[in-house]
Amino acid sequence: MGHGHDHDAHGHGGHGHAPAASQPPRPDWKFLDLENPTELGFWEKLYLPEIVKGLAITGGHFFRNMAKWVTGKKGAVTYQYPEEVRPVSPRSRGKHVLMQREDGSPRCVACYMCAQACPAECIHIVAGEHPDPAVEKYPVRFDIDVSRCIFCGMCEEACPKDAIRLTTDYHLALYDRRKIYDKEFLLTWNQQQAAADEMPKLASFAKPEGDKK
Amino acid sequence: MDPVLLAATLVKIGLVIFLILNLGGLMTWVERKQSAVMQDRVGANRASIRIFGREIRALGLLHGITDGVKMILKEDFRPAGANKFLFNLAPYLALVPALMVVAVIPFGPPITLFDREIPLQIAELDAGLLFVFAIAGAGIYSAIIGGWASNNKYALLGALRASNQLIAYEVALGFSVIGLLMVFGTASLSRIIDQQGGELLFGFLPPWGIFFQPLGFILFFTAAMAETKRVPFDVPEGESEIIGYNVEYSGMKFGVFLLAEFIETLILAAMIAILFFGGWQFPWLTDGGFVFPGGASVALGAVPVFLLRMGAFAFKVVAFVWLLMAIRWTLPRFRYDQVMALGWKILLPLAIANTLLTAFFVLV
Repeated sequence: MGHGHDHDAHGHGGHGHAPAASQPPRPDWKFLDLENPTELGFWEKLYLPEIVKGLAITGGHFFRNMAKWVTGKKGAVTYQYPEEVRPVSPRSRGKHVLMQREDGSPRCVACYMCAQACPAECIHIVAGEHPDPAVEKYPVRFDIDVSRCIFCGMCEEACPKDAIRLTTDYHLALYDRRKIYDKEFLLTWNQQQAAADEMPKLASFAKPEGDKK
Repeated sequence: MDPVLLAATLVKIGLVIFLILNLGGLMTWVERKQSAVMQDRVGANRASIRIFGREIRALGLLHGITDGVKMILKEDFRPAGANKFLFNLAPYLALVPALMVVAVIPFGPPITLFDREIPLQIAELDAGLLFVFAIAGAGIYSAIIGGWASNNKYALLGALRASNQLIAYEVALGFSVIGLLMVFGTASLSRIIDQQGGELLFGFLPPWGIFFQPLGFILFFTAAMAETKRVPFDVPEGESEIIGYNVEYSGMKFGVFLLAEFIETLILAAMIAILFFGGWQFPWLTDGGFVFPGGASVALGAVPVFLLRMGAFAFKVVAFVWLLMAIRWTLPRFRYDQVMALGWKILLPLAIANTLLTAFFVLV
């Protein structure tokens, strides 16, 4: 009597009882009973019918996909990356941007909250006196060492001014690992333009794709 | 010797060598693309060539060429302490038998040129089937010698596994076709094909080997697959974790091992088509045209009949290459004891039983 049986019994009970309010309902797990393996039947021992079954599955995929390719549709579930961009959730975290004030200067007040929150310690800020007395400081330099960033989004959460954001853009490959995101680069992001670019992507994310039917 | 026949033979040799080497290279593309389509992927398609400013990818066909260029340009490494002569010899011992076997494979019906009948087969041996087994069996030496000459204990272990497996399945392979030899009464491959175009079985079935020897077909298929050393039976190579006899080979020498494996797969497909599926015989097609079982017939000229028969052979070979590839990408590798048990305890007794049973029916 292995522990497999115990788990099995628990698993079956899981659905019947109402789960505690704080606990999410557990899926109906089935465990392989490794100590009492199932006896193979006669046809399974013959092995050939099982091979034919396996070939029917893989061959079925082959012919279904080939039928799609031949009729001009896509017979694969993978994305051809540089040409086909995989739609991502609007909540996904990618390239960093610095939000701007109406005059185009950064919204950032160089409070160092993001740098403090960053677990990868990849944000480096040099603060300077802002000419406007209503604003205390502004970042003279704002560098993100993107090769260290882990895209956790904690800088976003820490920021009191909503100055730093992570966009959904994940095309971050560079030819030079010494490259960092400096202030000028982070400020090039245009919210209106990005929103316009993002709309079709978001729409395609919300709807299942045509070839995934 | 008749100069026309000599010229025809030379042309056939050139054509067959050209075709088989190119088809062997093409098999890399088939393997990549078929496995990709089976697994809902796209497969290798990035290699491209720029012609008149247009990027042409040709469905990934160019990957074979880039592979070849890569392998030729790679460093041809030989480990210290390896036996230089034998180390260099092993890849050729793999490729040469594979190419020699092609010599006896009839790839089409005989054609008449200049009042002479020219068989579409380089050498019409009476012992064609035995020749295939003898020469294909010599391919074992490449694994043994290559593994030993590498001066690497893992390569040597791989070579031992290879020789163990290949010898085990060679026995079953030889026994699995004895029944077929008894049914057809000849070892000449062209005459075996001729016989499969004879009188219909039960009035409607084409008299193909598989209908006489269904068990023999399964045994031959399994044992011959094991002889090609490809997955389910890739214990000698074990590329995913245990390493095999070709672990020390790099560059084009490794490529030659791979090419030999692909050519063996092609030959296996052709041999299955010839022995069990009538070779270039088209069902219900005679020299004069179709004669269907119901009595209906369609008269056809010599040229359409020839083309239909060539097409039938090509189709059968492609179908079996597809099946072999599908099996290779469907089944995981057997454990080593399973390989041995399958070869010695299942295939060999079944093959002997099949031989005895066939002998009984042939006598009665």
